[in-house]
Amino acid sequence: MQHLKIGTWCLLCLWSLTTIGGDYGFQVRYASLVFQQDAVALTSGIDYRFSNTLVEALDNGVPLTLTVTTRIRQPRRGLWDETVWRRDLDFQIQYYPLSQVYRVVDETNRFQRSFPRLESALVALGELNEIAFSIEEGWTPPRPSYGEVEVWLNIERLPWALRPIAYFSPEWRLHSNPYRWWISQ
Amino acid sequence: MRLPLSLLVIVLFGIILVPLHLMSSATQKASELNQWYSWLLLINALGSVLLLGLVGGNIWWLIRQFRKRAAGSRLAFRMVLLFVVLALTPASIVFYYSFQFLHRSIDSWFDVEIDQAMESSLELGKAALDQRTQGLRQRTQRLAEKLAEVPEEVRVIELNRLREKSGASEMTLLTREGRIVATSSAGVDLILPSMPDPSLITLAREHGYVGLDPSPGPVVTENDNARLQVRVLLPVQMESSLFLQALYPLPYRINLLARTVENAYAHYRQMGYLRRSLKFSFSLTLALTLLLSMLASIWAAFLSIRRIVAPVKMLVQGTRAVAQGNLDSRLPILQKDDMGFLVSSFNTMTNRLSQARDEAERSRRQVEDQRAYLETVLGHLSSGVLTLSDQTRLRTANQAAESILGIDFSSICGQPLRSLAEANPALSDLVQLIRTRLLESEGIWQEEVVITDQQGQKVLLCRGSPLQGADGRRSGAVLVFDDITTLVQAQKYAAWSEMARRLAHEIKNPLTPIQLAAERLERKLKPQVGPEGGAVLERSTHTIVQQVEALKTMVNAFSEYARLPKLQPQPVDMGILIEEVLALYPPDSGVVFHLDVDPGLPVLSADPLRLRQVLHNLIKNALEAGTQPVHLTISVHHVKEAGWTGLEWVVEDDGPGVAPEQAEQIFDPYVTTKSRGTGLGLAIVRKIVEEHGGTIRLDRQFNNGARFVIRLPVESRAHVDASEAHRNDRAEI
Repeated sequence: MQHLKIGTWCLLCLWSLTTIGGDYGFQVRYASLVFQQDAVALTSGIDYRFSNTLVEALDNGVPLTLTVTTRIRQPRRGLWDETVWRRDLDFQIQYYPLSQVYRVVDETNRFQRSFPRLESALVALGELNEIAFSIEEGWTPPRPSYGEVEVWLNIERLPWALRPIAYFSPEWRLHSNPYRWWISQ
Repeated sequence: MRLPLSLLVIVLFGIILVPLHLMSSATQKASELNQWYSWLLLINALGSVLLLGLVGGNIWWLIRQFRKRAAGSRLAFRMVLLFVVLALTPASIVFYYSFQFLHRSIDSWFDVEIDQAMESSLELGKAALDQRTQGLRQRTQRLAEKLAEVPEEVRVIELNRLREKSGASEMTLLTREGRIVATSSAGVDLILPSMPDPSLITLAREHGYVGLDPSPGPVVTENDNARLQVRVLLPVQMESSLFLQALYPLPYRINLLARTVENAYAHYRQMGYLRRSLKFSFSLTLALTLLLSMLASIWAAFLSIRRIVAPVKMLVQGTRAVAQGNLDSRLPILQKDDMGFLVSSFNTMTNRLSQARDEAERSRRQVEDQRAYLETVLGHLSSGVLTLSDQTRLRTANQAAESILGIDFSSICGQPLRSLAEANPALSDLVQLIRTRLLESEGIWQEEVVITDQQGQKVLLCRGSPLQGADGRRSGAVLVFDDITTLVQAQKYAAWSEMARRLAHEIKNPLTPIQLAAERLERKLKPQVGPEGGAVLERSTHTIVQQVEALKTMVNAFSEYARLPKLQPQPVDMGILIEEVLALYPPDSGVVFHLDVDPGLPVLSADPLRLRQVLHNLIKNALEAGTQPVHLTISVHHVKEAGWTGLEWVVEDDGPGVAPEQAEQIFDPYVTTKSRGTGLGLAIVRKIVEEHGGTIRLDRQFNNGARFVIRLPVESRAHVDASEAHRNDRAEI
């Protein structure tokens, strides 16, 4: 089982290697979860650097969806770590040629904002401040466990014709490394 | 249970068509399956790989069958090749032109004029909206100036009044850092105002900002797509830290037109951008569809061909089995078509062949049984049976024939009849007789033949009969021999015995009165005839008495020959018996014995007194025939021959021997070469030997005297037990 786990990680690493080399990619700089009585608040800082292909697609009206996945996982010996809690945040960014603005929609919480420049939009996208997720009242994560935040371009939300190419193109297959931290008391 | 091929193929194509159809549907923009396109693509790709594996496996199977020159492999290979060529050629042509058509169709979507039209419509929209936005900017500028004149305490109230007056949907007073100072909104459910991006505030410091915003509010609502608003952001005063943001809704009609233009332009740009991707994805889908269909067709073709070839393969294997003699194999009828009829006919044919073979086998066994029966019967016949072919060649002979004729038939089987005489010259008369009778007579004939060989004379009763085949044609002849020598001898002995008995009876009775009468004549007449007459009378009567005594002796001998007592068989050790007899002949008896007796001779079941008589008679015969001292050699050997086991007892002397003309009658009564004796000695010897189941013969090849060869068979098992007891008794003694 350990070998299987290592093999899977190796495959993922090889898959991820194809994204290295260009001046683009996603990175989670920091992240934290604050537990409240019936909610968890996510605060995170993310750097988005789009590849030229993505920028070109965006400027040609292709909507892009960025998914921020937050997990609480519990380590297990000899097995994959168990995910005990997970929430996804989908952000769609689209360029409007008449308005000449980039519209960003938080599809999870149904918020939206417009930005005259892509950089502004990406900066705004990268600042997640106390995004609240509802949890069962009084639920606390098991010990030991760690938090994990990663962000990736959701290829499945692209137009269907782009998907086969996107799956095999490193400029499309953008995925951040997971940011992990131990959850303390 | 085996599914029908047609149903299997229909199910297979159904399974393949479902994901293909779903994938095709997923390429349509409005389809809900759009989101499953990747999975459907993957499923179809995996299906192609699976089918590729199945087709590859079948091709590998076909190659192996072809290399092994398996039955039906060539037919299967040709059919597969034909099917692939027939299926692939039109499919490839269709694919090529579909590919071309697809690419041209996608290219035809885009045109320079449409590009320009789209650009123009967008520019037109921008220009039309610019006029409106500039007006709203001036209006907002005036409101900002008014608001600057209002004391800070009543700005909130004034802001609300100005918003209502200007027709803005929302108006917010905020600081440079983006902090809200005051806000007023037309909506009642809005808690937070639509905040500008900080970059907009920076942008608005000098000349203000005015622009369209596709986000009418911070919260996404259902009718957002139909709402476009104008955002105006201006400093309240020059170098002031306060900014006024006003959001103006566009009229519904303008909003709708603007959205339409924007959506159309965006869609056209998006399609232009996706042109290559569309070509690639459509081509991929088309290729995958073709590949999947072709692979499925080829696999179905393999299934069909294998099912078609299976009966052919079975037929070939069945034919090979029949050729190798296996007629019991029956082929299963898999299909009820022409091939099934062929297989059924093959089964019928092999069944009939099998029945014919079984019948032939039964006939052969019957013939074999009959032949074995005949061989057994012939083998156990005392009569010799010899068959000849129609060309008078020797065909078969039974054991008795070999024994009677003294030949080894295996060495002359198939040879002409004359080879009998070559194998045994004594049979030349017989061969001549047979040849003559076969030429002369067409029917059954019978004749006695006397053959003379080293063993002596044999009287054969020979019967001949033609052999006829099933068609009545003559196919040879069968000869039956009976050795009637013993019978003839027995008849002769019986006659002699009868004669001896009658002689004894008829002669012996008057001899005593003759003798008494002669003695009385001498006694009565001797005193009366005087001395001279008395002397004559005495001589005469003496002669009469003497001759009567001689006659009595001869008559007694005849009587003894005629009435030999019954045998009293018991275990006899021949070595001991001979020693006991020879002990009665002392060295001065005129006989010098030479003994050659095998050690460990088997015990005979015989009458020892009679065997002693045999030896006495032979010794006496030698003494009477020869001049003393007579050298007599006695040898006894254990002989094992085919079908006979016993002792060969040879007694030879160095006397004058037996003349050839008398050799045949030497064992007959009253035949003698000596001046003395009754002529019954050897006749009694022969009678005793034959009563013991043995034979005696005069060895004619022996020229230094007379040599008698006696053969006595070894006792049966019961007698063996008796002999064992006898030996034990002797050992104890």
